[in-house]
Amino acid sequence: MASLPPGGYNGRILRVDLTSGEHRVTPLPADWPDKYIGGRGFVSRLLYEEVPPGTDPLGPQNKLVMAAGPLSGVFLPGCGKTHLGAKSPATGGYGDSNVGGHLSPELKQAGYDMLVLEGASAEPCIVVINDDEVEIRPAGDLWGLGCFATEKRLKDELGEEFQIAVIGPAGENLVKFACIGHDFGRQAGRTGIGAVMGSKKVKALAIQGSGTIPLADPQGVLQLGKTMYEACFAAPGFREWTPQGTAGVTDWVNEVGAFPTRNFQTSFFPEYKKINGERLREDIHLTDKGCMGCPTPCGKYSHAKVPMGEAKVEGPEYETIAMLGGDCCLADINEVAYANYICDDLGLDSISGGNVAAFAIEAYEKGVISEEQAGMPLAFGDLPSVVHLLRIIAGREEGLGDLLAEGVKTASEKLGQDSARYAIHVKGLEWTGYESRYAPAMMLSYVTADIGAHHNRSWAITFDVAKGRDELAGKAERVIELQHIRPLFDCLGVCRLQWVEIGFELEWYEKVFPVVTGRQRTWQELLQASERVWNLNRVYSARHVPGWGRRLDQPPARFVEEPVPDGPAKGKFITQAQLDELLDTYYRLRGWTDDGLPTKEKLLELDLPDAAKDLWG
Amino acid sequence: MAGYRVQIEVAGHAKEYFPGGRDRFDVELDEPATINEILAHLGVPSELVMAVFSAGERRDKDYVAPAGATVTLLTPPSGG
Repeated sequence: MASLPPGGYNGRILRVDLTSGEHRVTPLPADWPDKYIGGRGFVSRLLYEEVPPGTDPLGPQNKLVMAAGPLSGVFLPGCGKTHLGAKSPATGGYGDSNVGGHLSPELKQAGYDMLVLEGASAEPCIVVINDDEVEIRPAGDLWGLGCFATEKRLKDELGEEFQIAVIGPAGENLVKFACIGHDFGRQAGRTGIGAVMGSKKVKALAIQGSGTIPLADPQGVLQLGKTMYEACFAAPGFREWTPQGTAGVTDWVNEVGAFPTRNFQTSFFPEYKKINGERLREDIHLTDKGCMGCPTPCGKYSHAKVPMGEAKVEGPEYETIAMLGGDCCLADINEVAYANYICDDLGLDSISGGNVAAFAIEAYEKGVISEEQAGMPLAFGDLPSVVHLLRIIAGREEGLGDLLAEGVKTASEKLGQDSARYAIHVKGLEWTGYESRYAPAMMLSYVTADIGAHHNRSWAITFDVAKGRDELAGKAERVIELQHIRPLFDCLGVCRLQWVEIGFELEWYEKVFPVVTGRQRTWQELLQASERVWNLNRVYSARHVPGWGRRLDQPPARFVEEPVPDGPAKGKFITQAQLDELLDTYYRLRGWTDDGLPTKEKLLELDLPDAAKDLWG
Repeated sequence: MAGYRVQIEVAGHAKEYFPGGRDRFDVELDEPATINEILAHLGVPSELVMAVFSAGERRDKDYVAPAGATVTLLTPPSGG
């Protein structure tokens, strides 16, 4: 009989039924910590059990889940991570997104491991959680406000100690790539979970906790935590990495020919030095901003000035530079930061926002979208064009705004005229900041990521560079390895950037796990749990979306038919035959069928008998 | 006996592609060498390094560090 670990978990799930206005606490199933660890694993398991096939992602049967990991909120490097998930309105499959800041620490201090929003409110509301007191309040005149004004108002009214999660107009209007904002500039950006929150008429969550987080060995946590921080501070690159944050990679991505440019028409932006980390640091940076417990704050708080106005914004980080900068060809860091601010305030994912805007501009250039439809002339490199598109999308303005609010997959299907060729997505989720025609492992990472085209499950481009970019051998093995390592951080509830940025060793997490939880787990055992979650998500999505598997594990035609036209990757692309070879190897190594589905044997090996039965009978 | 020695520091997860997966080691060569030449000597693709720092300054890969210097190589991180 499983029992909860003595530390790291509260053992409680707070469920708020927005239809009835009631709330209740249910026990965390005792076998979940061992099998799914926490965070992403808990989101995955709960959605699998409670959001069945046929559920409308924007209907009251969908559930919005927030989960902490066992290390969330424990004072350790990068412990401020929170996982949010739901059935995705963007893809129809499993959806989730991770956000830094202070939400999960507060949730755990309030006495919960998870928060589940169920049903839907008839009227706009906010959910206020203050330890055991849970209240659904009318949103009043907050509905319609931007994310920043909403968070500011709630901080003023409730107190600075409350941690806030908000949606903007995009979430209210059910834009399929609406995000959830937090801490004046952090976002759970991907898979449209902001639209799920909007469908429940929840404008904001406010959480405050005054309790303590249970620890198996508090003194051990204190001592090991101190050692971990000292190791971070002593790591090579600690001082050099932080000043530019993730924006510092902009030059490199251009120099290796992987920078999304002109809606992924090419992979090199000639003006990249105007939007790189140096320009961020020198021209617009005000101060650094980190999440709870962060020794290497990647947040760069900035002040952008453009003819359209001024804005103070956290960012832009690399992904935003890639998608609003390169992909929309904005060649001034002020312009990128300003468009970043517009996305953040409207509650739009800046990755998908940039991708969709770039798609629309290319469609306009090709005559697929008219000036009358657009409402103004559209052009790459034109900030007013980008801002106009973001605003009509967030407002779902009749016509083009409403169409683009569905994302590039649906928009291209409705526009026709071969626009699907340059609708850059996988399974309905827009592609992110790495053009992968000359990076086979990165391409495979994107097409097999569990939520659609996303980079952070397996950021394998350095492996491509290290092992040869024309090589296919070994790429599938590495992608699988990364797809277990990187999402494991989301299960544990910590940030992966200390590992990525300054080479903080993975062994530290194996060491700290027992002093927090009281359970000894080898790194390999933790990775097996991560593999379990990966397979469970695959089954989830395969049951919800016809064709989820090989048929949908595909990039847009541009990536397998059009050579890169210029830049360092000129002439390169991955053929369909090469991609098929990568997928064949990937599926075989995973123990999946040729169609890309986990076999019954694999699911039973991973102790997922219900998934095996659901998929195979 | 080597005529030129520098200490190399490697930052980031891509240190695994450096000899032995180490993040601090000495390189000894007969003659002073550029960062690109040192990387070639180590068998590491130059493209795996996104930035070079030495003596508190950012350097390019044609930089020749003085003997005895510490050179920090930043490998690329993934965006947020």
